[in-house]
Amino acid sequence: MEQYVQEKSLPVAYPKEAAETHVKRKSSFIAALPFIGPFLILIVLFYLVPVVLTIVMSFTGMDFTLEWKFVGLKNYIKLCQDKSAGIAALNTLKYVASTLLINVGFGFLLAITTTYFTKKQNTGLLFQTIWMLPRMTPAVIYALLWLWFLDPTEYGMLNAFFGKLFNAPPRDWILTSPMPVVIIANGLIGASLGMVVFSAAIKSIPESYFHAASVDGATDWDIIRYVIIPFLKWPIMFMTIWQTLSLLTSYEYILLITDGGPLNKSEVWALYSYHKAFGSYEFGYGAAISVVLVIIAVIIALVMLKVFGYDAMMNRGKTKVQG
Amino acid sequence: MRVILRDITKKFGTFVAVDNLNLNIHDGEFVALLGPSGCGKSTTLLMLAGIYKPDKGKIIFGNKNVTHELPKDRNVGMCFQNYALYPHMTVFENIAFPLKLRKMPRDIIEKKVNQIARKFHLDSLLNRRPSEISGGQQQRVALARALVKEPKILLLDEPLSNLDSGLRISMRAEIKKLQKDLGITTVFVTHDQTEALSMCDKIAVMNKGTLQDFDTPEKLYSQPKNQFIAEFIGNPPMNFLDVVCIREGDKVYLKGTSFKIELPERAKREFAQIQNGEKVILGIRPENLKLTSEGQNTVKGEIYVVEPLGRDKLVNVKIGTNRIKVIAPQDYNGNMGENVFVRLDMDKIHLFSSEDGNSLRMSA
Ligand SMILES: Nc1ncnc2c1ncn2[C@@H]1O[C@H](COP(=O)(O)OP(=O)(O)OP(=O)(O)O)[C@@H](O)[C@H]1O
Ligand SMILES: [Mg+2]
Repeated sequence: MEQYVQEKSLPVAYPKEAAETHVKRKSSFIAALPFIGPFLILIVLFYLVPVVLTIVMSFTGMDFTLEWKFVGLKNYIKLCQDKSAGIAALNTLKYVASTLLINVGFGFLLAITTTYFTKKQNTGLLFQTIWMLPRMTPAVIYALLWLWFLDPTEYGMLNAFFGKLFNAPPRDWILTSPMPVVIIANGLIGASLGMVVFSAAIKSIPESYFHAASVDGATDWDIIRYVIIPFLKWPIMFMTIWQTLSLLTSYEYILLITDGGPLNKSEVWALYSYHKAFGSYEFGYGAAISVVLVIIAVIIALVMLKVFGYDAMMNRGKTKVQG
Repeated sequence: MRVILRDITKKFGTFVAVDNLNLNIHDGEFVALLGPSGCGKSTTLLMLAGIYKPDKGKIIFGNKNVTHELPKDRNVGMCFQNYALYPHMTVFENIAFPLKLRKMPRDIIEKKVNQIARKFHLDSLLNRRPSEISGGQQQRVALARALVKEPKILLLDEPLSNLDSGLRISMRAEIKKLQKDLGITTVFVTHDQTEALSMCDKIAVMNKGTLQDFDTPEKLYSQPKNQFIAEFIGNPPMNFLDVVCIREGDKVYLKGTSFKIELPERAKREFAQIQNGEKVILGIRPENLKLTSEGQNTVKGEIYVVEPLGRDKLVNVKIGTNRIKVIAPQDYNGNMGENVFVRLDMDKIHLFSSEDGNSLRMSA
């Protein structure tokens, strides 16, 4: 109702001001400069400049001598023929897709259990706080916790657990299944963000929708399917886009837990770029790998925004209620 | 289906939202739950729907104790103040939702929805979303959704309060007609006494979680059981004056700060229990007062302000420290600050105890 009125009344109000708007816009930009200025400088300094530098660097054969030797498209041609890059690409696909599933799916599950099924607010909140803890811990400590947990000797927590329960011999988890380890480690920490965002969205659904549905005969499952999920459509989409992009470019936990190994079994694209640049000091080649990632990320972002509609996502995210 | 609430109590933590409520609603009756905001009306309705479990007491539908039954097993239709129409579903899908949850075959759902949509003049809107129809139409969709599963009981939680005043008056008549046509037992929550008076067979007046009275609109209006009901029902509300009862031989007088009026025979009989010298509260409705010239049994006062209401005028008169409202004809032309005399229709007075506010009428 509200939105309907807005859409109808906007074009009516517009022509009156149209003449002034042009003049106003220029002067208001200047007026706003002192406020957004520092921020703009930061963006230029720490985002735009590195991107440009990386692009330029990707056309050089820079190595540990740090010389800018321009070599044209050589790095990109090399990349096309690099088998390790192919493995990294495949790993990235597996890693992003699986972690995303945990981040969004498990986050949603946690949100439902802590807000919809837990009637006592404090209990839900306590549970959510516990899930948030890893997010508040520095990455290095979080990674160390995983290393202890997965310690290959019989004193590792997981091995001790399996030993006690099934009498199983100790295993080197990181060696035998590196991908599942990095996926779960990243998924658990990422799920907490989804949980918080989805919980807030569930809480903003007016009670009367749940009441109406139960009176009409809905079970809990019906309510989740026909009420909660449709209301959470936009937060879910937003989380999906956001997590896809951040998973594509993040590698710190993988670096700390498996370092891409064993061999390159858990090497993802972003980490491969890091290894090339800072491992074997092929700065030019590393930059080229990064540029490909930036291009892919920008394309994914654009496609997703196009598909979901940027305006719709920004405006419709709010839960609409009449009255 | 008849509905019985027996000794129902509902607490939120230590706060008692509904306190020992007893109601006996006959089959096909249209009952209003009336009271100020926060008095426990919605809580009562949600207990009837099965959303809240009472902490104490029994709820009986027909001959069946449903206190512990889930909402889906109670077969009630409910309409909410904000309508609670699902924004992601079309009007058709909204109305069809209760049937879909019952796993009815597609063709039967379609038939039933179309049938009820025609009845509520929604046929042309079936493919729209709730955000694309007007408030009045949304209200009709909510009603259609509540009724499509042919419930035995209809619960309405302030269904009219989001409509503009014109639409509200026409929907009042619509809902009343619909209820009579269907003969469905209906509980209607409202804080608007005009709605309750004009639509319902009986009204349960609530205040702070307790039932004040449960009776017909006429009875509540003409013989309110306590000062709360007297003040809450009727518009403009009843006037109150602090008086002392004086018995002199055969005669009974009510003495205020600046006046002394005699009780007629009938009132004397009705209020025979009042002692000589007892402090009481005199209640009288604005329509039972008249502005006149000086005479016996009149009360002197000063015009405080005059509010023209269109059909008549509402004159505010200051009497001692009390202020009362009097309905005067449209052509009345008194001015602020003038002295006036008010005559009371002594057969229409109410007397309440100054201690607990209960009516002192013998039959009450
Ligand atoms: N879920 C709840 N938890 C705690 N207190 C509640 C809850 N629901 C209602 N209350 C309290 O119970 C009292 C009665 O609430 P209720 O919603 O029944 O009032 P109401 O008569 O419907 O009022 P209104 O006309 O404003 O809708 C209120 O004081 C309210 O604060
Ligand atoms: Mg209410």
